[in-house]
Amino acid sequence: MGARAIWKAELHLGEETVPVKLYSAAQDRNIHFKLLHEVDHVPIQQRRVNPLTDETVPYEATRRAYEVQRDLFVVLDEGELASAQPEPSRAITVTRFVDPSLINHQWYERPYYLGPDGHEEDYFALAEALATQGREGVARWTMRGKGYVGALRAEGPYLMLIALRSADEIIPAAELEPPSGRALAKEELKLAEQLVEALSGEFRPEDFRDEYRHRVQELIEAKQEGKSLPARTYEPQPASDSLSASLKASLKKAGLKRAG
Amino acid sequence: MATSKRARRGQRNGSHRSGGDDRPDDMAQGRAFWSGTISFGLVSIPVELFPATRSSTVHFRMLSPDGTPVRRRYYCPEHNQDVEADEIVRGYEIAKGEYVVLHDEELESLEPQKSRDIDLRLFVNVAEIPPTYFERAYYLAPAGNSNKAYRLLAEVMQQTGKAGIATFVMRDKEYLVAILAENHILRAEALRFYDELRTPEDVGLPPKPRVDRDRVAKFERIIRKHTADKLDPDEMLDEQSRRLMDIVEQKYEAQQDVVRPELPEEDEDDEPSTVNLLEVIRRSLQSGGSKSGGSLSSGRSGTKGRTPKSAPADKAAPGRATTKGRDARQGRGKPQAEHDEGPPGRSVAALGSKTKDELYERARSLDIAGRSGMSKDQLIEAIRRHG
Repeated sequence: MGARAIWKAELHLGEETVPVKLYSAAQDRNIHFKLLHEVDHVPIQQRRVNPLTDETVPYEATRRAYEVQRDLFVVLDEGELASAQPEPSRAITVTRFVDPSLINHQWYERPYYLGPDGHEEDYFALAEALATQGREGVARWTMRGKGYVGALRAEGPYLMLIALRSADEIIPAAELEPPSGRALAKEELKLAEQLVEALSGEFRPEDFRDEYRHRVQELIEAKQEGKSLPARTYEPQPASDSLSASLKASLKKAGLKRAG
Repeated sequence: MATSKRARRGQRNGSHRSGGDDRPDDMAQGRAFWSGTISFGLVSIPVELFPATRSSTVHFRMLSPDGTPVRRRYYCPEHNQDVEADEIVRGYEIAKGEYVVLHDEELESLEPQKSRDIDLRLFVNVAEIPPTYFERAYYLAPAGNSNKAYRLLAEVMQQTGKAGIATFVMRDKEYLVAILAENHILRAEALRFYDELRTPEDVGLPPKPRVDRDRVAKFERIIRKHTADKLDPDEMLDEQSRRLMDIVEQKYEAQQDVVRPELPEEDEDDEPSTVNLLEVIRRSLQSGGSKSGGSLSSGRSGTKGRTPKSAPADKAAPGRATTKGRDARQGRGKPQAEHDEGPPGRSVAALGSKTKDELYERARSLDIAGRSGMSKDQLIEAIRRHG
């Protein structure tokens, strides 16, 4: 097997460079549909229209504009749009190394594997060094006309680059105020903690399946063969009134499950 | 890959994933919300869900040569005519030009009955979840009377460094989430499913050769030399967006290439006006549990009104979705009415103040065909016709 590299690049760290290839680490498993005209099942297209005249507007004739206020636009021309683009470059420049805890989960957007592109020893030595030092690199690069920030990290013996969202895209928890109210009862806190403890385990991602996606797949296959799917059953759940009573009951249940 | 989202939105060309098509963008623009219930043992915590990311930073609209924003129409090349959303079905291509047709009702019947339940049956150490799994974050705010239970769960999550793991279906897509707490606020981190990530073997990375200790030491020295104890905030910014916004601001100041197009009467377009997501979440966190105020729908309905032209904050930062005063105003005076499910087919104005999510739910309860492919306008129109 093997995946195709999507980009060839050079890692720049201080005065060292390491040639790498970039591979997507995430793969699209979504089921893709086409929109069809119901009467003849012909794939639907979309056309751009001017709503005032109802005429089709060809792509070349469109202009880009930013809506500064509702229905008030500033139009940018091609030159202005292009002037904001970063210079093309093959460099993935690591600017600093940090403790991984500085990178909030909220920032992670898309993971890539880096593979060696020649100079294998340097590649694997760098991955090993990141692991022994317990650091991640903050890297910047430009790919297909767009600038990225990412976290360079060791994944087993390999290197991984995780594209991060820019700071402007994130709403940090620190800028929000948590809900307030009367102090929580110590007993309830303790019960809740015990319940979390009782339900604690290892993160085994393979235990979770995209059930809905699989059922859509099954439905497609069944329909292809002219069959239908059996209906599923519904199990209602009691609502909770008293917090501590519910916690106690839950604990009891969790304990039983564990013992059983 | 922030810009590609925009590109995709622009080029939705019939082929889209099983998820509600423009849903992530809706969420990211703060236009819609989802509500559900976290189950924690036998404790139920009703919550509202808000995007914790603002999606890509600069969003350009496409204008016709005369300055009117372009609209998209579905078009059948065979009939050579426009097609309404309720004349569209979804097809899965099994061979070239051959489709299995799926109707919305069929897809909805596949959803679990308790699709609004986020049932936390497993808690793990947050640090144990590999970063590659994290895809997108959503804040949770207490709803109903859940303030106390919410705070309790948040407190315990934070103290123990744990996350509750669960799956749930949110309109046409199943999500695996890790619910964790930061600053005593619950956040659902949507995770990728196991089969959505490749292994090094899938990619075909070579096995590790013997590596010289000296070579490793060389890189260790570089790492130590360039280690910093914090991030550089400037480095984490999207420079391209900044540059574009600078150009926009300059031109706006100079009143250069500024257009105010004439729009058709009923043009309730589906594109986002600026919504201050931060303010919306703030209000929701504070009001949650008291059953009033601060929902995303009220924020949205506020933006439907014209922005006061004279607001000075607007000038300083056109549209960067941070003009606090403006957005704070928007939410007020529009309390919870939108939450009440009135009889279907009321006035268009009342429908217009609903979020797309709410309209979709309404369309679903009325069993309106083709609803999943409909824009907000089309949903409103279909519901109105139905009534």
